[in-house]
Formats: sequence, structure tokens, C-alpha cells
Amino acid sequence: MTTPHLPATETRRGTGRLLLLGAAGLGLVLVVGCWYLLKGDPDISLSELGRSLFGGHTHDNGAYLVREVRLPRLLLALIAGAALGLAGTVLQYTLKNPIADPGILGMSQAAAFVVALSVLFPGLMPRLVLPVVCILAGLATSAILVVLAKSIRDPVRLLLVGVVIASLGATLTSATIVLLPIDRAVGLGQFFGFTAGTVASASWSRIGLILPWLVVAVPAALLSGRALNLLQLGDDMAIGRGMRVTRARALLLTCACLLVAPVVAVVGPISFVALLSPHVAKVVLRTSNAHLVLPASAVVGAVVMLLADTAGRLLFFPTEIPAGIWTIVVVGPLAVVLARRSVGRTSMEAS
Amino acid sequence: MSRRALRRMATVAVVILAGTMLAACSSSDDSSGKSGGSDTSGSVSFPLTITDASGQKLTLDKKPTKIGCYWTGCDEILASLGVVPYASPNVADTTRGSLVYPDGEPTKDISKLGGEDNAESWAKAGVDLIVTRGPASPEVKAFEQVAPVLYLYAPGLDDSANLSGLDAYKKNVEIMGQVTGKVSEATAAVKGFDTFMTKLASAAPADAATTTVAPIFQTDDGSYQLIAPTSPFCVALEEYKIGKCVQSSARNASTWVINGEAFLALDPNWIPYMGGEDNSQLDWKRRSDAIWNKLTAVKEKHVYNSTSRIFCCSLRTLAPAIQEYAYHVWGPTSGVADPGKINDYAYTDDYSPLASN
Repeated sequence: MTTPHLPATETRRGTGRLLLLGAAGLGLVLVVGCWYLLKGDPDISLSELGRSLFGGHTHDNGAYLVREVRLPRLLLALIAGAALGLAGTVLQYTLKNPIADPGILGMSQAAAFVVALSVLFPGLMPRLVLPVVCILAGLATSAILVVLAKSIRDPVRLLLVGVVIASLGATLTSATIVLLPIDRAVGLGQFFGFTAGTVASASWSRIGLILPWLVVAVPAALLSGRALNLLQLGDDMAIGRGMRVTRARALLLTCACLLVAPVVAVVGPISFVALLSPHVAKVVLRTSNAHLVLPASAVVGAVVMLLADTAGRLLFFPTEIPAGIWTIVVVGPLAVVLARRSVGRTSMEAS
Repeated sequence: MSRRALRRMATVAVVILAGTMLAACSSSDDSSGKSGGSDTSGSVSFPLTITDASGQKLTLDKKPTKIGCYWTGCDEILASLGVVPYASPNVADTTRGSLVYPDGEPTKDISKLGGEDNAESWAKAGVDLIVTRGPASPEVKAFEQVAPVLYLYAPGLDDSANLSGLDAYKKNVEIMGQVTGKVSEATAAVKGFDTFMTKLASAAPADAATTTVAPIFQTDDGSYQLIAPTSPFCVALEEYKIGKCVQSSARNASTWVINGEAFLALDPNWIPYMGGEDNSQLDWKRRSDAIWNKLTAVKEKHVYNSTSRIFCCSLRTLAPAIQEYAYHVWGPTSGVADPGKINDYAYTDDYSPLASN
């Protein structure tokens, strides 16, 4: 379904660029992903990689590391990045705010606080329950935003509320650390690693923890294009076209929460992927059609996380630098360059 | 002036002089605020200038009588000197094992005065010296408004100091011996540790020196957190030829995390699995991640749950940590006594780690 007022040719061009982006993203994932699986301690050859992945039971160290350590980590980075990219688009369109981000709105901080409690007080909650509690915490922040969105029409003010909620979550986490009994201090190192955002502890079981939620949330997000496009027209226009705005907003924020909270529960709060992936996608596609931006931001997010974790794992191997530190290094300059090109083009068109 | 008057004046002057000398020679209070005898074996005189772990030159005009211990290492060192800190968060039911003070409890419980992180708590306690560990931080620097702050060495926790390993721990004991006037006790404490280590090493098997060890912290996220190779535990193992900590440049200094693949490549012979004093959640057998299951030490059950504090904070806690290592790695037949849990460890004057016959 095309967005109202957009010529079909523009939509076709956008679709074409989306396909190009998808192909480029896939190519990058294959090349970088392959290198990712080959390098480490020990390095392995392409043939060994092939045998490890497709050759049945090989029990040597390299094959084991590929199957049980590197491959789940690679997949977790891609999945987390795609989920965050989608979440960023959903949030920015739902709240009509270009800097809406799970971190700014408090979703990440609420989930991170839950994880802090579980790390610093081992045994507090079983690992299976952790994503659920994180989701509930994220939903709580979403609920506050939904309720307030009815009365606060100014997106900047709504964002301010999100910032307050985010600060509250961060403060609760800090308070937990400060008040931590001394015999729990050994957990602090693990927690600080978590807060940087890392996929280093990936495993098949951890992927299994978040997949059930993403299996629901990702299709829901990809199919929400129409609703997101309508919301861009403004609440009155959306209502005029038959949309129940508050309900739609609640569902969309819930979808974003289901994308973000399980990811935070497993890899920690990763910055900038959700914030910047939609912008990169829009600049590349030269459209803000949500039908196209959604899958594009998922591709961008996945590629960014892959590049960030590759840098974190391999650039200074064997020293491990969390992927969350590299995301801004990877996506920040890209966003600036693309944004400047976009501004330049706009200025030329205006003149 | 008549001779009688001169004689009277001379007598008065002698009396005043004698009284002044007696007052100068009388002992000052010990750090718990109680009067005690003078330290006749000490060669410390005040004002005393100490260069501490942060590099600052701290001058103490007179011997502190109300020492506040912000860091557990301070409590432990004072306990080994036979001194009770005046103020500490480690009182009542937390004083056990390494923190058993010979002469009662600290006078002031900082946790009840507002907590040790609050400068006002130390002000309320009325301390005249606060002892902590390096590096200096803004929060601790705020305590300087209350009393002078002395930074001790924390090898393995603070990499900024110019002293590490056993030398750092021994220097801490020397510093506290000077501050408290217990110089001979400090010397005895260091010598006692050396004696302990020598006795322990005498029970070591022939191949002990080649045993590779990797103390890691308990985690449940599959990460591997190693202690620093400069930590006194690792230095002591190597110095006394009873083991060798694995070393890797992979260690992230800020989080102590090591890349899992790199740890697998190191594949240590033994793994002390550290969970702190309350190890109710700790059991290395419950850990299961892809790297862990491949480690030779895990397959051969060369892992033990460490109840000691390998990574901190003084010679006093290092001794049982090393005895625990020797007991598990060499086995009971080596003659090394089971030290038990750190909180139940019985410190003896002769520092004997060997089982009695």
C-alpha cells in the first residue's frame, strides 16, 4: 500500500534502493561474517570453516569454537542490531520525534536496572524469567509515555518525560551499586561489562531466550508501516482516516518494548543503533515511507552491530572491547556524512 | 639576690624541668582511644612524613589515636598489629576471621553513623586519620575536609601505584606500623608471613612451580574475569615457586574481563573459582558455557570454589588464600591443613599452615 500523496515512481525508486541496500547489507554480512568466523584463537581456514558449519561432527577446537562461540555471537549481534534498528524506527515514528530512542525514553534503563539486580544479587531471579521481567519494566515506561501522550501533544515535552524516566532508571541502578553489600562487590566487574553493551557472552541458549519475543515483535514491527505513516500526518489526520491513535500508539510502543527489552536483557544497553539506524536508512532510501524505512533500518542496525562487534572482538584481539563502545564509532560518522549530504541536496533543491 | 633565693629558684627550675620531661615521655593513647604504655621498641617519632600509595607526602604532626578504616585492608593490617581501629564499617557480626581484633571492637560503627561513603559520618565519628586504598577518587578526597587521608597500596586493584605484589602488601604493613607506633609488630607480621610461606613451600610437590593457575570470578554470563598478574597472590606463587598465574594481554583492565577464546587457549591447570565470602550462589559445577566445558581443568575437576579473598586486601587474608590453594592443588596428603572458610580461619602466632601430626 503506498503512502498517500507519494507518486508511485518515488515508491518504486525507494523499493529499488531498499533492494540495493539489502543486497549490500547481505554482501557485507557475508564477507565480514566470514572473516569473523575465521579469525580468533586459533585462526581457521575456509575449508575448516566449511567443515565446521556443514561437515557433520568435527570435534577439534576450531570447529567447536566456530559452532559454539563465534557463530552464536555473530547471530546474536545481527539479531540484536536488527531489533534495535526496527525499534528505533517504530519509536521515532510513533512519537513523531527524530531523536526518540529506547535509551532516551527509559526503556533501556528500566531493563538495565532489572539486569543490575539480577547480576548483583545472583539467584534473585532465574535466567529464563529475566527477559520477561525486563519486558515488564520496559512496558511500564511505555505505559507512562502512552498515557502522557494523550495530554502532551508537544513531542519535545513528551521526550522530556522520557528523559526523566530514563534518569530515574539510571539513578535506581546507581543507588543499587552504591548500597551494594561489600560481599556482592565481586559482581560489579560483570555489571560494568554489561552496561557497556556486549555480545561477548553469546550462546545458543541466550539466543533462545530472546527469539520467542522477537518472532512476535519483528513481524509486528515490519507490518506496522501503514500505522506509522498515518501517525506522521498528525493525530487529527490519522483519526480522520479511521485510526484509533491512542490504541495504535500503545500497541506500537509495546512492539518497540518487545524488540528492545529482551535484547537489553541479554546484551545490555547498546547506544545509538536504535537512534541512528532510521536516519541512515532514510538518507540512503531518500524517503521516509515507513514501509521501506522499517526493513532498511533493520538491515542498517544489523550491519552496524556486526561491524561494532567485529571491531570489538578482533581489532585488538585478544583484548575484548565491548560492542557498545564501538557502535558510535561505526554509526556516528556515517550518520553525519549522510546527513550532510542530505542537507546539501536539500539546499541545492531549495535554491 | 641572696643565696637562699637563688637556691630556691634553682630547685623550682629543676622541678619544672623534671616535670616537663616526664610529661614528654608519657605514652599517648593508642588508636582506640585507650591509654596504653609507650611503644618502647618503636623508632618512630612525630611529626612523621609518609609518602603514600597516591604519591602524596602526608605529614602527621602527632600519632593518630582515632584511626578510621575506610578500606578493609586497613582493618586487616591493624588486626595483625594487635590494634583496634577507632572507627570502621566492619564491626559486630562482620568481625570474624581476618577481622578478629585482639582488644574489643571499634569504638565507632561508621555504618550506623551514616555509612562509610559519607564524609559526615567520619566527622561524627571524630577520627583524626582516615585510611583507604589508592587510587585517590573525588569521593574519598572529600574526606580530607574531615581528617587527613592516607592511601595504602592495593596491588591488583590499583595499577597506578609504583609498587605491586607482595612488596606493596608489606609496605602497607610497614606504613601502618609507623603510623600506630607498632614498628616491631609490623616487622613481626611481615616476617611471620615469610615464615608461613617458607613452611608452605616446603610441603610443595616437585612440579609445583610449573602448575598454571587462573583465579577467575564467579559470573553467570559466560565471561571470564581474571585477577591481575601483579596481584600478591600471583606474585607469591611465583616467588615461592609453588605455581604460576596465567598471563594474557587480553585482560581488559577496566572490567578484568578476558576474551573467552584467549582463556581457552591459556587452558590453565587449576582454576580457583572466586565468589567472595558468602559463596551460597557459587559452585563451579553449576557453570556451563561453551568455553567452560572445554577447559582441561574443568574436565579433570581441577577447579575449587574459593571461599577466601584471593584478590584483596592484605598479607593477613593472603595467607589463608594461599593455604587454600595449596590444600586443594596438592591434596591433603601433602600435609597442608584445610584452612576452612575465611571467616572461620584461626590465625596463630606461629603461622603454621601444615596439619598437625
